[in-house]
Amino acid sequence: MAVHDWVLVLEWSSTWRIVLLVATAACVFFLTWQGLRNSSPGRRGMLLFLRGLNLALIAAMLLGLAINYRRLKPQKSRIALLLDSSASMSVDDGGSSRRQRLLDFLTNNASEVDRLSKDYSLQMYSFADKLIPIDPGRLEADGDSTDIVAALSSLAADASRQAGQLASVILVSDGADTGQLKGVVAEGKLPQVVNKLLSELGCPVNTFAVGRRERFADLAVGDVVSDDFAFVRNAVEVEATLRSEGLDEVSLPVTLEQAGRSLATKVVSVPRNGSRKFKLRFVPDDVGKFVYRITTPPLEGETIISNNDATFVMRIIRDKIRVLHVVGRPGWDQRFLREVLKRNPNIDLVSFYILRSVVDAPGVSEQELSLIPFPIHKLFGSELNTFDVLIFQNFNHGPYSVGFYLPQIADYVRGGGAFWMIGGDLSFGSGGYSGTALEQVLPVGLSPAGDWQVEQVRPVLTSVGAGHPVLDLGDPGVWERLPPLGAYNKARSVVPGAEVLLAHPFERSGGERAPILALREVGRGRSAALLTDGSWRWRFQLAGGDKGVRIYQRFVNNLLRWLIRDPDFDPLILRSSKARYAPGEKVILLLKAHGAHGAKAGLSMQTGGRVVERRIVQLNDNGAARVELPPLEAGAYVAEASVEYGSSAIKAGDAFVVEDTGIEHTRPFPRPDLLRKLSGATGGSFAAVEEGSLDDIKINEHKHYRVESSTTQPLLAIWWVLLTVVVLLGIEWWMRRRWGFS
Amino acid sequence: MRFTAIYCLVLVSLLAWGTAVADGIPDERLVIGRLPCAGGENPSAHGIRQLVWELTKRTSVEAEPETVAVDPADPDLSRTPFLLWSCEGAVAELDQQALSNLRRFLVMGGFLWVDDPSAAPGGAFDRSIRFTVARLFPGKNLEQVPAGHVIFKTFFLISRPTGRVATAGLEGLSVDQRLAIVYSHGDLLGALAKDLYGNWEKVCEPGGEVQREESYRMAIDIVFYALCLDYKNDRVHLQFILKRRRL
Repeated sequence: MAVHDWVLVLEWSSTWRIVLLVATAACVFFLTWQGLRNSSPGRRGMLLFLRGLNLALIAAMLLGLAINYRRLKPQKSRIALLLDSSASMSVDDGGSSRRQRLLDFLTNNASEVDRLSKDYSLQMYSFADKLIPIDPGRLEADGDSTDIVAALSSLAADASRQAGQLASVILVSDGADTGQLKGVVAEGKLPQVVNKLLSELGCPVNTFAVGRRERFADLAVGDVVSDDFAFVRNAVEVEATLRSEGLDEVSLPVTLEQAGRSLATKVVSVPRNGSRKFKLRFVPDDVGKFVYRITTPPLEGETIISNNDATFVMRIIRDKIRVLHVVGRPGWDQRFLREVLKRNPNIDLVSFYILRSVVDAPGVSEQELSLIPFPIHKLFGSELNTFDVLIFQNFNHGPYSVGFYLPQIADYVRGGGAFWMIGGDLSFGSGGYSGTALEQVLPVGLSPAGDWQVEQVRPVLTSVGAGHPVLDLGDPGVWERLPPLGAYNKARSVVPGAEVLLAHPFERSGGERAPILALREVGRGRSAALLTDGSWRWRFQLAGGDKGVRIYQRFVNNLLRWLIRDPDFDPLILRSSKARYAPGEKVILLLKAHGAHGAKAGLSMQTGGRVVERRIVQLNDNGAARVELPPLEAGAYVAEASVEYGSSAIKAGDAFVVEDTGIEHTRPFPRPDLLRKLSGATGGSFAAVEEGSLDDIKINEHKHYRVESSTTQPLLAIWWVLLTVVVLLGIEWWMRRRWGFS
Repeated sequence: MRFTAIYCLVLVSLLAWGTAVADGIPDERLVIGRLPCAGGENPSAHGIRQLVWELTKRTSVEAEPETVAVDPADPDLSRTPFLLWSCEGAVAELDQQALSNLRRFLVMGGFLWVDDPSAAPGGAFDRSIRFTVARLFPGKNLEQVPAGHVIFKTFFLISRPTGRVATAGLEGLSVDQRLAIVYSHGDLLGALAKDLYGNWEKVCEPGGEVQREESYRMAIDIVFYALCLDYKNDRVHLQFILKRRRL
């Protein structure tokens, strides 16, 4: 039923007019008072009252004062129903998922919902990290976080914009807040800012708890703290937290794994309904980007098993390239190579030169020599794996009993190490390596009869070499200007799968051009064979002097970077634009293939050993491509790309993680205590969904009206106002006449 | 006539072989280039031959016993990164092209060993070599090599530099923290020289045969320095060397 009222409004007056009129009225009033100074107080008071009233009325009319007549309609108060849509609502800890029990609660209270809808403006929202109006039938449980305070803040901000005062808030949630209320302990108080927010809302917050702690038992690994990168062969520490809920104090093994390989394990004791931080330490043995997993075994009766592990991605890089340089005899090739290695600040060089062979006789006591023992057992035994690159330069293993360690060196290469053999009369076949374990990891097959050839050779670039980054010396024509080599080792053959970058111009080995520089991928490692001891001539003899220095430095550094699998140096680079993707986020992969302009690349993706994506990607004219993939399911992924280079395929890979609901996944414990606190702070009700009813909620009953129509009438246009002024003026005139005033 | 023809044939063959070696010097062997003297003589030939003999016998280094005459103005100077300059009198005067070429050789990593056969400070050789070094590197001078320098421990542990004349020191000129020129002004190669009958050509004064052995060691260390640079300053060697120095 409509209600009528009116209000005074000032329609068209301005500041200067108000000042002028008030000043004029004041002057008139003052003059009137002056004129009545000698009269009796009673008469003076009456006349001043009448004059003042008249002046006020006239001023109000001249100022544009008007009466606004309004027709008002009663308005319904608002009630906000907030439904938790975070991922923790998908947890099944009571026979069905929390989301389902929330929906059941609404179904069971359908008549109350109808009643509330009829009596109030009932607005339904879902909330996780933000508030969204929703139809309850479409409620999901996929939010990345639960932020009750953010939801209530949005509601408070929204309330000021909407018609109808907020009379009540109904919050249905598991209370597993991951936002500002995360740190509120059961016995603690709500933060001051939250109390302020609740008072701003100005209405009771009624809470209904979904999920019960007594029915929940879970272990969760989470809060992994790791650096984005670490240095290979340097100990790395990763911190994580093991949480226990609904379980007695328990001691469990936690394991750090990479590609199914256990890297570190320790036993962690977690108190009942508590958490324990722990650190795992491991030493990465390879460079690249890897997915690591911290896991603990599931216990019987656990509500959620999927949060018993946590994955993270870490890029393993090199601090310094640790190089072991073993030289069979001092010479110019070793001298100039050493210069490059020593000058490179990224190289930690350990050198051993054979300055005296077993047949040499210095003719003095050991004390007069600067020679030190050749620590072969240490170098090729315990210390071998601490080196990134092992260089044998014109070194024959026989006289020094290194042969015993050749199988170990071969294993080191297969396991991810790098080996570079440089030629000379003590190297390759002439060094006695034919038929040894080391030959099996070389890019070339060796002749058992010795292979040292003293003749001038000007090596030629092969088709593979022309496009290979190792020989990208910044000067395409340099290979034609380089001085010839003085000698070379003639290999018996080229190992299948090896790449020959430089070759003899006409001599052949096993049907192919005799290799001068060949590279090979061996297991997880790489090997290189430079079948000459004359590369120093490129450094020292190249016309132009300092240009030769740069060319040689670049060649050596390129080769070392290739050997150690410098990620930026691979002929094919595959990079994920992010190491971690949020749930639902598109995955973007970038491909760059050196020297494969316009080619096609194969791309595949695996998770948990299962191929989930396989496609062909067209590279552009720069050999690059950007691949955008639709959102992937949560998990750790390994992407692999391959491009055909001639007869061989080159592969590259990268790893990334698509996060599950992150913190929702690791902290799904129901918090009815938190919901109870919110209700208590606002005078609202609290109940579990299984027991509570919407009938019992607390509501602030307010009457609110909406203006349906209004009309405004200036005082100047109202006849009885004008009549009142005239009558008052007449009375004042009559009194003044009667009391003898002019 | 017939004998002359055969002689010529042998000579041509030898020359051809020599050229082949110079063009395609096996890289595992050290070849010493010899810079010219004003008088055209080669006083160090016997000393070098004996040095190479001892070098091969005592160490793993392989070297050519004969030096190769090189022209400092020749762009191919870099075929022999190890140069020797030793003259009875003054060294050959170098024109600007030769100076420039030799300077580049040394800056780029080449090594020059200067040995004064006269062992006479202020003598013709000494004056000429200092003059030439001053032209090669204006503003730089030959300086005494400090006793702790790595050149004195590259193979043998040497406590004092010596030569045929014991009072002699060792000077050097550094380029880019590396000794590019080493000057032994005590006739180091003279101490090593033997005649064709195996007799020492010169007497070492005043230390005699002990001083001669020390001269061998110094010469070998110079060669090792050219080939290994500061290898013996590597961390792994320091502990051993310090221990042996103390003994």
